[in-house]
Amino acid sequence: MARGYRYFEAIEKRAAILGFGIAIMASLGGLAEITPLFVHASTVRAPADIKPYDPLRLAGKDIYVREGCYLCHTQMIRALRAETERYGHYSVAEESVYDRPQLWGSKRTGPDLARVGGKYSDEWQRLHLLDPRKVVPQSNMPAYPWLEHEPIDASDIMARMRTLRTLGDGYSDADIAAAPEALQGKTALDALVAYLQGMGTHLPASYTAAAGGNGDQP
Amino acid sequence: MSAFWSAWIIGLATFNLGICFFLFVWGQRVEIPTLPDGTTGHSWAHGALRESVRRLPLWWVVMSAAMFVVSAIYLALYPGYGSNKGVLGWTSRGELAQTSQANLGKLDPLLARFRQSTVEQLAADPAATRMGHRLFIDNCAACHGREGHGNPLLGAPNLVDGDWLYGGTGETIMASILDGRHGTMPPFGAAFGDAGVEDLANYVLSLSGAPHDAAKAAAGQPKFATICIACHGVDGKGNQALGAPNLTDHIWLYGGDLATVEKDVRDGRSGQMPAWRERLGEDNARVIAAWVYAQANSKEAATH
Repeated sequence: MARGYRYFEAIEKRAAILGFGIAIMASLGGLAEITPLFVHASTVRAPADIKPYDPLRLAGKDIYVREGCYLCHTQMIRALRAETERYGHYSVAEESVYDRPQLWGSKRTGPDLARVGGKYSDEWQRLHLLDPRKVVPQSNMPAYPWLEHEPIDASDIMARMRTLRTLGDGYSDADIAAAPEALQGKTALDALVAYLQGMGTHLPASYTAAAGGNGDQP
Repeated sequence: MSAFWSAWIIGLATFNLGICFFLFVWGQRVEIPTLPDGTTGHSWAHGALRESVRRLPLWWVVMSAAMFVVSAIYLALYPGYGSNKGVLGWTSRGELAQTSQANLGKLDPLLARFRQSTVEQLAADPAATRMGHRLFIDNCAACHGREGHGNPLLGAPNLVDGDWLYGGTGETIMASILDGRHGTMPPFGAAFGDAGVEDLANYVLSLSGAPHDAAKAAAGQPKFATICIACHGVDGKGNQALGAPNLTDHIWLYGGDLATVEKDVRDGRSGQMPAWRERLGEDNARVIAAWVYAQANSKEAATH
């Protein structure tokens, strides 16, 4: 056995070799858990009723990212009863096909927003974004009053849509050509409300019928 | 999961566990050559630190061995070893279905009992109203407030004052919750002009005896009779079939000052109650309606 120890000693006394060995061992877990998911993610296809974002919602999504909404709000309902009771059916991969980047988030200071679309009226959303305390007295969400006065910059919406088309979103030339028109006269608030109101409203039909999927209906 | 990726995961997991297990066994048996002073001869910090040789403590050996046992049991029971589903066949969605089912089992007798009753009867049942209030806070409070007092900024009506836009029976409350409401007041600014709007607003205020300019109200009366009566009625008492508010009481959806009423007339209003059928379902809507009904018909509301 003493001969075997020679090799062990050789590794132990050379920091570079030891570090290299540690790196290999530590990456095994990641290789086993993450690489198959990368490949799997590229095979997820959007069902027919989930469409790429229309120009106004796309602009709203960019506002959502810019204002950092994802820092306090997740868009990921996990398959746990406590979550499905409150927020609705758990989120599924197909719903995020057109989210580039996905905005699942990892921290909830405010509630999950994955299925907030249609839960409140447009007017509620506007009022709530401008001053949350006007509708929810105990809310600690910041107010975003500037959104109301900020026109949407339509100059680069076509470039954004073309980029997304390169990545695989099914925009037609006509869709892209009509985009600046659709943003005419809209404010950042209009766009963000449109984005919020579209959130999670198209659960693929294969899930609604699935047993146990109906978690929001006790 | 394809056979390739299953083999990939199995290979990596086996390799990782195998190396750890080899080190665990070999590390305890290997003979480490020592110098006469009992150290290995490895030294750090220019000799200030030297490495001596001791047997591994028993607790460490036992805990490491237990780790291997637990890993093996875990991989046998749960999915993780490639595409192997595990003896328990556990999935997160299966667990959700199970816990939902278990909850339903506890809830069902109660809901079945509630289904036999009308909203009016449930309003007297504390079990129903307690559940209803919880659900109300989760879903309805964002607009109507936690105790149902409404929000004039949204035109969200006060639900506990005993005054109703669409009617206060259990059936109507259920319909409002399940299918939503869209209350529309058209804009009349263009039709009546600024002065006409002011006259009309004063007349509307006069209906409930609120402070107003009598001359302007008198001028507004004929204007009211031309169009407004279609929805609000000749006497201004409203129409619950249309959700047109009663203008003769002291209850205001958006506020009862002159400026607000002028705005109502000039720009119109569009109040929206979303439909909750899909989110809540009838069972939940029924207990919420029961709580609302109970609040609206309590002694407090009667003295309003």
